[in-house]
Parts: sequence; structure tokens; C-alpha cells
Amino acid sequence: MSTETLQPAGWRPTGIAWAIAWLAVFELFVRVLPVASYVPASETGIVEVLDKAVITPAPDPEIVLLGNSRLRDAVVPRQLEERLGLESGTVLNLGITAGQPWDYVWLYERHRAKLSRARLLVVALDDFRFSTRTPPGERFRRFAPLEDRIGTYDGKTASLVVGWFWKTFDLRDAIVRTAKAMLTGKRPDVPVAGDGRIVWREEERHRGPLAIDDKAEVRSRYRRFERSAVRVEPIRRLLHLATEDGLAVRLIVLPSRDSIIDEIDRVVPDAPIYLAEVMHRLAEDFPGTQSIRWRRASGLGIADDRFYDYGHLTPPGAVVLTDRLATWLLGEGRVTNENGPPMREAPRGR
Amino acid sequence: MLFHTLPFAGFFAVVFAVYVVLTRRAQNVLLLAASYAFYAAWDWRFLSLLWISTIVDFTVARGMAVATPRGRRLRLVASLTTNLGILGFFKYCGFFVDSGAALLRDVGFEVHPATLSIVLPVGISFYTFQTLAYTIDVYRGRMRATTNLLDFALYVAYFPQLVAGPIERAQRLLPQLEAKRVVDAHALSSGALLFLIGLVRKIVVADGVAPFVDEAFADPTSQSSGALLVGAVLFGVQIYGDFAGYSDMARGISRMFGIELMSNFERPYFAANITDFWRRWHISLSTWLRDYLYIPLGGNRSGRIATYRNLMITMLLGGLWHGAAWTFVIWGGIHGLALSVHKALFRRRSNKNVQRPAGVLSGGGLLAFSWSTGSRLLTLGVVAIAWVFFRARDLDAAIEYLQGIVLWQGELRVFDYLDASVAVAACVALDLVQRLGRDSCAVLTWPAPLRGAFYAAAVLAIVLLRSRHDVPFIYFQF
Repeated sequence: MSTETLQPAGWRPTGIAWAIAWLAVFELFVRVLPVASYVPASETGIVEVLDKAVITPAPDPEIVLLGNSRLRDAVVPRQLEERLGLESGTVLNLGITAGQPWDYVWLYERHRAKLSRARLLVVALDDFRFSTRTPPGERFRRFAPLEDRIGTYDGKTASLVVGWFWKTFDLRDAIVRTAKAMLTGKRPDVPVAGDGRIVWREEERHRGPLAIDDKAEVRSRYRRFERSAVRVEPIRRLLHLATEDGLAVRLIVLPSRDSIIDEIDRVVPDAPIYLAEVMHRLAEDFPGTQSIRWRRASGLGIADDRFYDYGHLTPPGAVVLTDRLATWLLGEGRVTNENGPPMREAPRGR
Repeated sequence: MLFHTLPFAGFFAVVFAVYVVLTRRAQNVLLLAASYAFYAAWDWRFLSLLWISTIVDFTVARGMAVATPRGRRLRLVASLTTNLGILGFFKYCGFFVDSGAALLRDVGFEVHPATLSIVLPVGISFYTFQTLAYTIDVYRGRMRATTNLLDFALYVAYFPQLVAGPIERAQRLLPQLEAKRVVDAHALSSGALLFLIGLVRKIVVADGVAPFVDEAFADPTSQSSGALLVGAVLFGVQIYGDFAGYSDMARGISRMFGIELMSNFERPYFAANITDFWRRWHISLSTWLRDYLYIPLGGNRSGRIATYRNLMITMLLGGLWHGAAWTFVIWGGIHGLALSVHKALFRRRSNKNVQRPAGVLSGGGLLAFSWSTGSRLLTLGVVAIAWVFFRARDLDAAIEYLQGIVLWQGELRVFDYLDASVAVAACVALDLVQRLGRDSCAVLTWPAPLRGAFYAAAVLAIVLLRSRHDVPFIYFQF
């Protein structure tokens, strides 16, 4: 054994110390400036839109819908209120872009004071979000507390913990996006339409393409699907909070193109089976919780070209889906106890 | 195991920690074991090829010491046959069989050759040239054969430069492996700095422009002429960032072991002319080709025509070294032609001024400056055209690509290239820093706050602009 090779005498890490100082200054700017919310049309920017343009100005809600972008596009709040005979503004569609189970409970906790006044919570679930392979989203990196970062995402714990201390690392996508927006002057906004939907797309269309690349769509979402019990925990936590607050809970699975469902059943049949099991267990553990799984769009009378892609509905598609949701909530999915919203069948053609 | 990934960081940390507490001989054992483990992480099956090259060249070179001139020649032939035979089988077998069949079809003979699906062992072109250089040098009497198999095996397999060079000469590397190493403060800090610069070149520069290049070359017919032109230029930036980045990282890692590797790039896009370009681009290969091919062919000693012929042969084979495809041959041909033209035009003229911009700017005036700038731009243009052949999937695609540029149509949306401009700016900035400081580690001489700002900027650039996927080095395929 010998230590003669390494002779670092005279080495002073002043350059490294200065580098750390510069990085600390940058970190300070990242933490102080609204880097994450500068571009509304982004995973983190949309939070401010929900906060300021949807939740804060709304009256006390009767129904709160939580889910991802598929829910955002699929349910028309004003139409649902009309069908259920509720006051205008009392249905909140909080479908959030790139939403994952953790986002739903986080959003509920963030606005618990207001959302807990609702009487019904509808949660839209997607099977591909319950896979160990799903990576953490930008919102998780921006907002998740330290305890949530440990063990939630397989193989990502180290980078998520680093990101908790070093926000520059966590917000790297947002920083680049903000810099680009400032340089180009392009800062896409996300308006809230008169019917209560968040309008994410620059241009809304009535019809989507007749056919899509089903294989590629399924591959991108379900790549090496593997059941994850950990990903179910946020939903369990959400249901716990909601029932504690006295809300009735309905779990739904939104429809997708028939061709996509065929491809999923062919390639990853375990994903929908796992979700069905999860929903069943949640219904058992939280009495009163009901669920419905709409899988094939054709079963609801929605044609494939009423989707922009694999499962995001166009406005006419959303009208049909909202109508079917209202029918279910008035029928099988109706909340029968005194805590339920005062829903009644509104006269058709209003 | 890629240099810019976490598994490699862990691998290096463990090897380095053990290395510094060992004696020289044990260090070599460790480095050899680490090198084989590093290579096995790619594909353990091809370790045997590495061992064959090692054993054959070690034995052949040792045998030369006691052999007659004829015996020495026979041993050299044995080494050439073994090394080039392995390289030829794995790299060129399919190419020559397919090309032969195509030629026969063109003259009316329908043939259906049985084609083998042969996997190319990573780094085979690099370590084959390295071992060949050793044997040839021993044959020529330029160095004595080593008697230590461990040191020689490490010379062949030394992991920082095993899979993509630099192609080190035994005269440089072996003595370092045979001597005691010292890793002092400067070696540590400059090694780490070189590695950091390499990371920026790879992650920020090369991977930053890669999506634009991929899009331009995927379907040239769907691209505007401007996009194709930018795509060709950006490929030049990508391959430079990728390869120079790898070389910097290799040098940095090796320096931290106390072993100096040669510089493989000297800011090639600042070249004053095409000859100057080849003094700066992939220096370890260009000097190898010069010493072991161009000069043995006669170099420039046998008249003008022979010189041009030798240049063409050297560059055509240099192109073929990169890969078994006609696109690489054409790439080499363009460079051979450009070098010949340059040699013909400037045969009697001293081009010192052209190669020394400081002199031009200070004393040459506007005309000299214009001449120098024009010469540099022309060099870049020739290099960019050649890159189209290098990158295109086949000859037809390359011609289609160049046609797309010439038949100027469509428009270029400048804002689409924002990411690419950041990458190019980083590339130019790094080269300028090194050029102005006249040293690849000039940053170390800066005041601490400025040096810290450089480190911080590099770290930020890597963190913010890193691609979501690990992109392999381009030269690994050669």
C-alpha cells in the first residue's frame, strides 16, 4: 500500500467555493422569482391558472372533479350544473395537465378549505398512472414535500431528494421554458371558457383524426407496465381526506378510442385489470364510494374522431360525455345520503 | 457505460479511490481489471478479440528483437494479417460482399451472396490501429519491445481511451505505464476541468443540436433548404462536440490517474485551410495515417502527381476506417481532393500568415483579413459538404440532401433554432476560451471568482440542457 501517488499539496478549492456561491445566487433567484408559473401553458404554470381563475373566483362548490388532462377536456361544468339542477359555478373541473394521483391529493389539500365545502368528489383515474414506470412530473418536483419524495417513484428518490434541496435541479425544465418565453416573447395563456372548461389548446376543433398510431400511443404510456401499490396511496389519502370532510366520492374511468382499448387489451391487459382491482378495493375500504368504468367510446355513442388523440375529447365529444356523466350521477351513481348535492333531473331542452 | 452517466461516475470513483493507495504494479493490475470490466459492460464476448490482439502483438514484437530481418518481416506480416483480418471480418466483410454482388449484378451476373449478420465490436478500429502502431514501430526500430505483458495489455485496453481513442502511440503511453505516477494538485484540477469541459461539449453542444440534425437528415425532402443547410452545419457542430467531448473526458480521467493522453482536437473549425483542419481534427488518427500510410506510400517525396495520389489513397482509406459504407469513402474522397487542391495551389507559397490570424489582424491589413476570413469560410464549407456524406444514411440520401440545399426553396424559421443556437454558442465560447488562453485548461489561470463563474455556468448548462435520454457517442460505432 502506498499513498505516494496522490500529492494534492497546495490545492485550494477557491474556484469550487466560488462556483458554489454563484450557484447559490442562481438558486436564490429561482426560489424568489416566479420561474415555474411564468408560462401558464405548462405543468407548473397551470397551477396558478387553477388557483386564480378557477378555484378562487368560484362560489362554494357542490361537485369537485379531479383528474388529468383527459378529465379537463371531457367534462363541461356549466352543462353538468344545468343537467343536475345546480347553481352556476358550483361544479369545478380541476382536471390538470399531466396529472398523476399525487397531484389530485395535493390540489385538494392546497385548497382544502374551499373544496371541502363540496358535497361530491369525482375522481377520474387512468390505468397507466398506476405503473412503477411512470416518472415523476414537473409539478411533483416543484411542490412535493420531502416525505413524499422518498419511495414514491422507483429509482428516482435520490434525484427527487437532491431536487428538494437544489430547486434549480428540480425546476430545470421550467427555467429553460421561462428563458425561452422571455427571449421569444411567446407566453401561451390558458383561458377559462364560458362553459367552465380550461381551454388548453390554441385551436379547438370539433373533430380529431380518424385514425392514430395506436401502437405508438400505447407504447409511450404503458411501456413495461408494472403494478404499483405505491401509486395508489395518494388516491387512498385523497379519499380519506374527502370522507373525513364529508364528501361523497365517485371514481370514474373516462372512455378512450376503441382502437386504443383494443391495443391496450392486446399489449398490456394487466393495466386495466389492475385498475379495476384498485377501484374495487377503494370502494370496499371507503364505504359509499361508487365507481364506473367507461372504456370504449363507442359504448357511449362517441365516435373515434371525437378525440384529438388516444383519449382527449373534442368539445362535441365532451358534451356527450358530460351528458352521460350527469345521467349516471342522477341514476346509479346518485348520492343518496343527506350529504349529497341537491341534484335533480333538470327539464330537458333547457 | 458512458462517461457522462452516473454508473460511470460510480465506477470511476471506486477505481480512483483504490488506485491512489496502491503501488505502481498493483495500480496497473487494477487499471487492467477495470478496463476489462469497462469493456465487458459493453459486450463481454468481444474481450477475446482484445486478448488476441494483445497476445499476438506482444509475442510478435518480442520475437522481433531476436529475429533475422526476414523473420522480423514475417512477424510483422503475421501481426498485420491477424489485426487487419479481425478488423476486416467484423467491420468490412458485409460491405465488400454486398459491394461485390452489386458490381456483378451491374455487369449482368445475378448473385445472391449469403450475408452474415456481424456485430461490430465497440472500439475495434481504435485498438487495432493502436496495437498495429506498436508492432510497426518495433519493426522499424523506433522503440524496443516491452517485456512486460501486464503493461502491454494495459496499453491496449486502457479504459479511458479504449473505445474511441485517442489512438495512442506506444512510445508515449507505454513509458508512462511503466513509470511511477504522481497525481498532484494541478493534475487533479486540470483533469477534472477537462472532464467538465468534455461533459459540456457532449451534453450541451452535441446532444443539444442532435434533434435538429436528426430531423434534417431523417427526411430531407420535407425540409426547407435553409433547414437542410443549418442541419449540415449543425452536424459539424454535433460531431465535433461529441468526439472532442469524449476525448476531453478521456484525457481528464486519465490525467487524474497521472497518465497523459494526447490532445485529439485543437479547435478545428478555426482552421485557416483544409490542411490546417487536418492538423487540428482527430489528430491521433490523422497523424497515424500520416506516419503509417501516407509516408510509407511515398508522402510528398515522389513528385506532385504521386503526392496527390498518396493523399487521395490516405484519405479514402481514412474514410473507410470510419465505417464500411460508400458514404464514408466519398467523405474521405472529398477531403483527399480538397487537400490535393490546396497543396497544388499553395505549393510554393508560404501560408504562414493565413494560419496565424494574430499576424493577419495586426499587420496584414484589410486584404489579408478578408483573405484569411474567406479561406476559413471556404474550409468550413468544404467540411460541411463532406459531413453531409458522413451523416447521410446512403449515397442517394446524401445527394438528395445536397440537391435540397442547392434548389433553394422554403423558408427558415429562426426561432425554431433557439436551443441549437445556445449549443453552438457554448461550442464557440469553449473554443474561444481555450484559444485565447492558448491552453485547454486556461481557465485554471483565471481569478477565483471568474473561475468559479465558469464552473457554475458549466454545471448549470449541463443540468438545464441535458437531454432526457443518454445519447451514445457517435464515434463508438466506428
